[in-house]
Order: sequence, then structure tokens, then C-alpha cells
Amino acid sequence: MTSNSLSRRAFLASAVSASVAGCNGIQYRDRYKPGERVSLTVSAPPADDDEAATTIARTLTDRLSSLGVDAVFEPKGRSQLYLDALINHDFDVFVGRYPNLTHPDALYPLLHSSFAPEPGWQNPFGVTSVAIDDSLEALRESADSTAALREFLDVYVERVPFSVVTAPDFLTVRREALSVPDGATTERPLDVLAQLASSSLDRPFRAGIFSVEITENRNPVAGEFRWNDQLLGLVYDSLARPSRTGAGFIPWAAREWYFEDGDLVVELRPGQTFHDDSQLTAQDVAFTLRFLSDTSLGAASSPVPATRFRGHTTLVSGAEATDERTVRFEVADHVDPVNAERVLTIPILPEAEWADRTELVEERVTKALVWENRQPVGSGPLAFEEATPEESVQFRPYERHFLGKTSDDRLTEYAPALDTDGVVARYAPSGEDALVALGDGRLDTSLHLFPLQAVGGVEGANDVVSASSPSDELCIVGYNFRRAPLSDFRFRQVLARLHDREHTAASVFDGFARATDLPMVEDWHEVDWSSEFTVGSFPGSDGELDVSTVRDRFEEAGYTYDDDGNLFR
Amino acid sequence: MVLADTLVVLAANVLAMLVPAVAVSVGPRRFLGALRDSRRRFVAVAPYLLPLAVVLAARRLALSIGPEISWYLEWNVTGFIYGLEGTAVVRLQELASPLLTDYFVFVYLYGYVFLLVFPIVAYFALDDTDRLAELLVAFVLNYGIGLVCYVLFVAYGPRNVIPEVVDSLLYTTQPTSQHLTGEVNRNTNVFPSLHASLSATVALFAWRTRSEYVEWLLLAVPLAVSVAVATMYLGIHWVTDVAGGLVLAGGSYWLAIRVVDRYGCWESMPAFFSRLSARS
Repeated sequence: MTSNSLSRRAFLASAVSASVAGCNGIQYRDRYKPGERVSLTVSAPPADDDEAATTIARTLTDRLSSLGVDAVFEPKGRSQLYLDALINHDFDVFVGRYPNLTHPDALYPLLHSSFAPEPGWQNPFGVTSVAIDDSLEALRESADSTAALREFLDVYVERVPFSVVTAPDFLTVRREALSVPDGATTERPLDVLAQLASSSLDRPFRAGIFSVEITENRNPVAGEFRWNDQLLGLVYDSLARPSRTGAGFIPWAAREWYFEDGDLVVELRPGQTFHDDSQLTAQDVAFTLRFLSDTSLGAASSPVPATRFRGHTTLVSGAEATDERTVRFEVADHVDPVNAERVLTIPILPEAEWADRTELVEERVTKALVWENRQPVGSGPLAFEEATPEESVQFRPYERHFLGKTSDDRLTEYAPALDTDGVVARYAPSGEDALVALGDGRLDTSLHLFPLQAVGGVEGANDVVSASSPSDELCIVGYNFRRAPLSDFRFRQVLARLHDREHTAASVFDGFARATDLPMVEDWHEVDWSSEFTVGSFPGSDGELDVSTVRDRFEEAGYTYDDDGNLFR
Repeated sequence: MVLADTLVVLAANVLAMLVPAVAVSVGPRRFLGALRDSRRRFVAVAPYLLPLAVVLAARRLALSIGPEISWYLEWNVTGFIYGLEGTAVVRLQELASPLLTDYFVFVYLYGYVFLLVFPIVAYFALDDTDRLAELLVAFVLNYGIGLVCYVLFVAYGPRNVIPEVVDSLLYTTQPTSQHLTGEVNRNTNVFPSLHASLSATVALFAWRTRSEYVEWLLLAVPLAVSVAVATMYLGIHWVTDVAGGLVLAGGSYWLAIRVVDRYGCWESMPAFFSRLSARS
């Protein structure tokens, strides 16, 4: 799109200067450009990284081409795609996965206009809509989110800030002999801890990873596009963790919390230590919040937040340690206390280690954000042992963890994890390779999302079973509002309908996904929103697009076709 | 561990082809004779071994920093290639059968390596070292130009772009081979196909040496064709990549012969090298 318009401009410039030199009469004609061909680049990870996204993006490209759009499909390695889309905002349309949609409030940083200039999953689309802002603020402010959510969805289906194609399942494949509960997946840190606790092996638990990232970089703060925090999430404890069975949080490093005068007051469990045996105090917790809000701690001319936690840190306006074990979070204005609880899930960092990572290595980038943190020191039930880059990483149980002492019956199921030999995560280049490794005992289970394309091999493999459950992710299509015609909501309304979601869930996801066009995961509410709200049905059937209907829609939205059937704006 | 196992299997398979092929085609007597004369032969092609070493080292380098440069430039030609040929490779996979897949997997992994190694041994056994020199130069050109393309362009293969219609047959039938291929290449490097270009280069040389090794010509040509087809059949390369590979092969062959014709081989180590080795 850029190069195209550039060359057009260059051509225009030369044409104009030529006509100025020659005869004045034709200048106006040369500059008169009533329309421009609609051209879009659709980016997605290649099949090696995310086969479903590849197929969705390529199908969209083919459909756009058939509709007269100058459309190009551009596969990009996952980290490059998210670098371009989330940090550099250099994209037209991308297909990817939005992670961690655990709570309606996650929509706030994703779409609120005040986040549009920020990097990361903070409004990467550049949405600036008063209507959307208002509904998001209402959502954050209200305790009864059902009514507020209804309001938001009403705006969502009209403005289509991005599209949802499906809500994919999380897939885990493991050795059948492994003693873990049926249907157990490995999506969240606690899921992994529960499996470790019930595994009863006399050697480390062998978990297959499909990305080498954690073998090289163990920084819990960096990386807006880190999905796989199952292990780092167990190295770094948080005050509370999302409950595995339903809504709400279970107390973790915090023994309890309550609200007092609009503040969120948190009491820590006694006697907690970091893996280097230093004390974990309320100071560390208060520091973590300050630090994540501004990793330069005031040294930079404007704050340099850890973008991953922007949504969380904006829920509160400050934190203070009132004694060794008590932290007071000041809830931000217009935030309902129920929503503010989400701040309890940020990782607790040892102040002594992070306080001197504040220097700027680049404009708006601190050392803390790019540091590899090869020897992570957290306070979680797993402690770092050793790593071989691009191959494996090993964690041992941290025997001084509070799980060994607690009698809280929400936590006792995890305690046996401390008596194991820990976890070794090993890289598998593909799902097929992981199946072989599971077959010959090199792996006990897959840890990261098991690649869909290999799931067909589970049946034929010996003593291997799979488990799946609805995940916290959505398969989404992002539109760059900064670029015409994606800035036009009428255009986006037509785009949003170019996905045959039922067909995609069945054929592309092999049934391991729920077809949906709404930005919410299943366990938010009991209400069946899909009967009430929709961006509109797919014009066509069985994955076959009815081209002439959509061409009419583009024309109704104010776009035109030339004699060759090319779409102009 | 997995990588080491894969390497052992690779070596075993290639040797199983190489040893009988050398025994029949070169013959033990000529082979041993060549070994006794190996010093002269190494000296003769020495000026061409060095560039080959440089290119192979650059290959390692291109794997580590190459992707950084590729993504910095971001000349992503995948969409262009897809626009050019669409789903043409699907036609090949329509012929797929388990036997055919086994054959092409074998050819892609082991036949290819055999194809590259055998002529080095066979031409080493020739009294005239020009053929060996030409072959080495052609390898250097193939690798060198191929690597430049890899660094300049980002291009994903069919299995990464149209996965719903093209199976990634190599990795579904030989999953552990990915540990090996992951060591030698990245999935953004498909244009041009070095499998196709190096195989075609070897086939062209087999034609050039048909009077010395006529059996080799009969084996090399079908094998080279198989390798080129295998890259597409297995969903790894586009037709465009293979076409690019063939052009690269033709150019490298032509240029290699010109280069050796112009500069020739060494008859002895240049004086300064001898002095160097004498001193140490």
C-alpha cells in the first residue's frame, strides 16, 4: 500500500512538473484524481507458527481479490508480525490471536483511544471513537457489567474496531500413562502446577514447548506478545491468581484483601521469600506497581510503562506499603472496585534486583524492558535451575514456598508440586515432532498450545491422548484505522462479514473452536449474546462467498467499481 | 540428542549409496591411485577450496544474522509468488501415494546429499583436476548467490502459505527431520531452491563428464529431477523457486567453466605458502 501510493505520488509529481514546464492547460487534469484503487496487505503468521491464522488471512486475501481489491497476502514470522503490528503500527490488516481475554476490563486498554499512541496490545488498531470510549469507561466504572457490556457490544457491532473470527480451544497432548486428571490442559500457570502436583514422577516433568523464547529470555516484564507464561507465571508469584473454576481470583501471595475508604488493602502471607532467600515484603509489592507503571522510576521525561501490564496498572493510581505485610492500592477514579481486583495478578518483582534496571537504553525503552533476565529470581513455586538456549530450560520446586505450609483448601491440591523434581521444558519444532517425543518418552505433555495441524496424528500415536477446553484467546482480524479506507466503519462493516465463521471453526479449526463474532470468551456471562448482537452473517455458504452481494455492499457504502471490476475509493 | 541421531541416520544412508557408487563407477584401483596422488590434487584446486569454505561459513552467519537483515529490509516476495502461481504445486500432491512420499522424502533428505558428495569424490579421482575445480566454483556460485537472495528476500514456501491444500509431507512423515533442517535453514528462505539448483548443477556436470562416467550421467539426471520435484511435492518449494534454482544452476555452470578456463589450477603451492608452512 505504501510503496504503491508512493510511486503514484512520484509519478504525479513528475507529471505535474512536466506539465508546468510545458503548457498550463493540462495541470488541473493531471492533478484531478477522484479515486484510488483500494489496496490492502493482509498479514498473518506462517503455518509453522499458526496454521489457522495463515488460512484465515489467505482466504480473506483471495476473497478481497475476487471483490476487486488489490490484495496481497504477507506471511510474517510471529514475532515480526507483532513487532510490526503492535509496536510499529505498520500494517493494513492482520490476523492473529488476542491473548488473555480473561475479563471484560481487558477490552479497555485494547480499544480506548487514550491508548492509541502506545505500543503493545494497547489499542494497536488506532481506534479513536467517542462512542467506544464512553462504553468502555462505563464498563470499567460499573459493578454490574452485564448492562455495560450490552452497551459496549451495541457500539462494537456498529463500529467494528476489529473482527473476531473464532474463540479457539486450548489443546494439550500428553502421554496416556501420565497421572493427571482427564481433560486437563496446560493453558494457565495453575493448570501446569496442578498437573505437576498430581504427576508423581521420580524425575522432572517433561513438557514440550513450541517456542524457544523461554530458553533464552526469562524477563516477565518484557514482550507485549508473549503468550506462553505458564512457566514464568510459576517462577513469579502474584498476589492473586485467576480461579481455574469460574470467575474471580484465589488468594495467592496475598492472604486476603478488602476495600477500605476506596482503597484496596492487601495482606501478604507471612514468611515469604524470593528464590535468593531474601524477604518478600509489602515494599516489593508497592515497588512492583510503581515500577511497572514507569520502569524508569521518574528518570525519563515521561513514564516508560511495562506495556504488557498497562491495563492492570491503570486500574490503580498508587500503592503504598503501610507495614511489612500490608499494601494499600489507591483505586483510580471511575474504576469499580470489582474491576480493580485485576491489579492483584501482576508478577511480584524483588525490588533489590529491578530497582537498578531503570536506565534508558533508547528513547522510551528502559533496560528492564529489554533485559534477558537469564537467572530469574521470583517467589513462585518453581525456581530457575538451568537452560540450554534453543533447546531446553529446567526449573526446580522452591521448597520454601508458602504452598508447603498453607492449609487453605483452595491451595492444598497444588502443594504436592513442591515434592516433585520440577519441570524441564524441551523445544519441539513441530506438533508432529512432539508426538514422536511423547511416544518414546522424551516428553510427558505438551505445554504450549498444541499445533492444530498435528492433532490428527494423536489417534494413530501410541499411548497419547489429547485434551481441549475453551481458552482465553480470540482469533482476531485487526484493522489499521490510521489507513484509508480502513478508517471508514462502513468499509469495516463489510470486511467483518467476509469470514464464514461456522465453516472456519469446523474446517480450519477442526472443531476445536467456537464460531463467534463477538469479542468475549465463554465464561464471562451466562447470557447468550450472539442472539442479540452480530456484525452480520456471511454472504454465501459453505465457505463460498457470494461475490455480487458483497460488491453491492461496497457500492452501498460509497465505493465504486471501474469497468474491470476494480474497487475504488 | 535427536539431532545427533538424525545425523547418524543421514550419514549411514548417504554412505550406503556412496560406497557402492564409488566402487562401481570409479573403481577401487583408480580411487586408491587418486588418494596416493592426493597432495597434488588438493594443491591444484586449493584456490577454489578457500572460497567454498568462506561461503559455507557465510551460510552459518546468514542463518543467525540473515533473518534480522531480511526483516529489516522486509522485501517479502511470498505474496508475489503466490499471486504468480497460486496453487500449482497442489497438482503434484494430488498424485501423492505413501510409496511416492517415501521415495521423495528419501530423495530430498539423502539422495540430495549423495548427489552433491559423489561428484566431488569422482572428480577427485580424475587425473585432470579441472572438473573438480569447476564443480567447486559452481557450488560456490550457487551457495553465494542463493544466500544473497535468502538474505534479501523473505519468502515462505507453499506449506506455510496454503497449508489447507498442501501437506507439509516431509515433516508429517519424518517429524524429527525438522531438527536437522532447522539447523541448516530457516523457513523464510525458499527463493531460490538450492536443492534444485545444486542438483541441476551436478546433472549439468554429469553431462560434461559423460565420457569419463557414463553411468553417473544415467543416475544423476533422474536423481536431480527427482530432487527438484521432491521439493515441490513435499510442499517446501514453489514452482517459482525451482525455476529460479534452474536459472541459478545454468548461470553457475556457465560461469564456473569460464572461471576455471581463465584462471586454471595450481601446479604447485605458491612460494609464499611453502615458506609459511616450512616456518611453522
